[in-house]
Amino acid sequence: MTESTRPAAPRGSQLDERRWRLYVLLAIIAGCSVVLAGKLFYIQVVEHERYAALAAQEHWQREVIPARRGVIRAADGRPLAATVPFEALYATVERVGDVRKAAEQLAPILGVSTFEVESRLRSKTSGSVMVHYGLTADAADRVRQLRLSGFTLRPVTRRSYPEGNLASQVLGVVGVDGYGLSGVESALNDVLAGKPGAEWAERDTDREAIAIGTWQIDPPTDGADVTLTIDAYIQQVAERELAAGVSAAQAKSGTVVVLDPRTGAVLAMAFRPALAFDDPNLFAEENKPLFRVPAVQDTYEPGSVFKIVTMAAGLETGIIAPETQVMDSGSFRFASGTVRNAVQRPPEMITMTQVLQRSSNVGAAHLGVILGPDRLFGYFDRFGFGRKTGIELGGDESGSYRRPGAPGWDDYDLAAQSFGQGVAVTPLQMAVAVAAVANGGTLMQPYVVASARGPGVEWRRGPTIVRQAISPRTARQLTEMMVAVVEYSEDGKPRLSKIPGYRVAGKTGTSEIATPTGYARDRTIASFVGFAPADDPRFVVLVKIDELKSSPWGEQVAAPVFARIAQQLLVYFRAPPDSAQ
Amino acid sequence: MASSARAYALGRPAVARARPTPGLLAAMGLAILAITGLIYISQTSSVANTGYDIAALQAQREQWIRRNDQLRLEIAKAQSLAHVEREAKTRLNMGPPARIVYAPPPSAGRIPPPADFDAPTLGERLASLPSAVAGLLRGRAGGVGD
Repeated sequence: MTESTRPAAPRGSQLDERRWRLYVLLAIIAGCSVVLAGKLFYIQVVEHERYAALAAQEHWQREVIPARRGVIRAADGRPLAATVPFEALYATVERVGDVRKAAEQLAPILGVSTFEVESRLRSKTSGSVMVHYGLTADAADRVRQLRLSGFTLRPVTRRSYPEGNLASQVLGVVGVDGYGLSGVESALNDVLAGKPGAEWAERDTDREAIAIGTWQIDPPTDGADVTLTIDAYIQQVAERELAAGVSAAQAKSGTVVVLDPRTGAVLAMAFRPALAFDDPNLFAEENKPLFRVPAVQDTYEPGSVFKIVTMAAGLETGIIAPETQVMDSGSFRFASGTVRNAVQRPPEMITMTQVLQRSSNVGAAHLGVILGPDRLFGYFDRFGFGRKTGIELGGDESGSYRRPGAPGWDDYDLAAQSFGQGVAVTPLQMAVAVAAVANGGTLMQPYVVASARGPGVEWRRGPTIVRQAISPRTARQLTEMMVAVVEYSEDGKPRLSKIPGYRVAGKTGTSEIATPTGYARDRTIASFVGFAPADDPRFVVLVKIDELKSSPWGEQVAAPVFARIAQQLLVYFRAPPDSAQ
Repeated sequence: MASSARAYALGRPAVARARPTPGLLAAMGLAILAITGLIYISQTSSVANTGYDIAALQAQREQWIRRNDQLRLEIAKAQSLAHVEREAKTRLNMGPPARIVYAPPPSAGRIPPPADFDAPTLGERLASLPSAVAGLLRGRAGGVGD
């Protein structure tokens, strides 16, 4: 019975078959194992980098920590431009339930109409849409309290301007990417921007950092704060008076530059039309010209104001004295052209002081011709014309004048350039040259950035002497001649540049605008440059008003703007008057 | 009976103590493992909670920094020249001077009295003498206020 229940021993062929099956099974398992091992080898070794990166991407997230952009301050420490953190409200459109109701709740907090919020929410059918940028902390808290579904608040920063549009073109614009596009923002972008940091952290499925996960922070380096030489009060005065002057003259544009003649520090640079930071179309194509700083990037023919330079050359070389006389016949034919005075008077012998007082083109041309190109242009060089000033604003123009041998040179150019025709200068170059007369003959390098201070950055700029352009004696003589210009009156009425109680030195200029086909007779530039008090100058003011309609003359248009600015600055500087009035 | 019980206790051999069974050992092992696990989980959970608390505090801190920076901006705006000028014009009814007059500086020596100044009489001077003396005694110059 036992034998009958025991299974029969496998026979040889059956055993072989079973073994064969076992071997096949083993071979399949071994094959699979090899394939699996191969695949594992491929993943773990060959494609290690790729899969490690994918895994890291899944679990790790790198977030850029933006650096705080430095503050730009006025000379007295007032912040002119500062980056302030705000919050932005975003909505995931498909997760917002009742759009109308959400818009009604948000509108009063955001300070916009319900229609506006609703139209933003309906601007997309899916995905994320920005509802509002730049929410204050209070507004953000109120939004949070609403507990609206589908809305997220994200931290953002915005460049803010506590003084409004004061010195807007000097400050410049920062693009949406946080990069300075113009003015100081562009020129000192590396100093102001700082270095962004980063945070690597293990994230959960909601992309939130896991509290017990591994994380690493590379902290950002904040940008340095920059202090300008711009005096906020002087800037405000300059902008206000320029705006009034441009409006009264129905002019196209205008520029005012105020310098400290002792140091070369720019105290104010005002422009009209001016850049408005709060313009919603700030980056529109038509606003691009306003990104320029016309005082350093645009050249013009200075006209009679330039006679100061010719006169300085004559006095310094000893060819003339203020009392030296010249025949002013009203016109002067030289080489291929004829120099004419703007105002015709009977021919008479006039002194060099009178050449400036009456703004005689003929007198200045005579002097230029007597000096000759080498000496005259040598003084153009000494006053810094034809060279960049080196100011820390991008696009500093060098200007130009024609020398013998230059393409198109005509001997008449010598006479014309003597009274400021055919010479291209920037308003800043002209102001710097007059500052040299005001301070006793020293050409100073203009500068607008006084210091920078921040992590790893600390520097301070002071006055830099370029060269002694003329001697103190010549500067004194020229100052007296310029005082005589302001004191001079042909019709018995005081000059519009005169300030009661003070001795003011100055010179008017009216120039035509050069076009590719010649001079536009119906378009002029009126300018005035002067300084006060004449015996201890505290400031140089250059006023330039372009394409005016009310009157073509610098005396009528630019001089009153100068006088109004100068009067306020004399009070501001507490400059004692020269005489009681 | 008590003595017999003591005798029994004293006479109890050491080998009679029960040996832990494998089941008991496993149970003890599991219990230790569970306790260790619980401790680990509670520690981890505590660390996680602390981590989230820190994250919340950091967010709160950032909010306060934001608020602070925004307040600084508000202060700067309130101190801006344009704002001060607007306030001076609208609230204080101030305006720029219509005309600036410079008075002649006094020549060396005494400052001349204004034209409408009435000089004190001898009687008035004598009457003011006691107060002048009292002022001197107090260490002040007579007739000069603070």
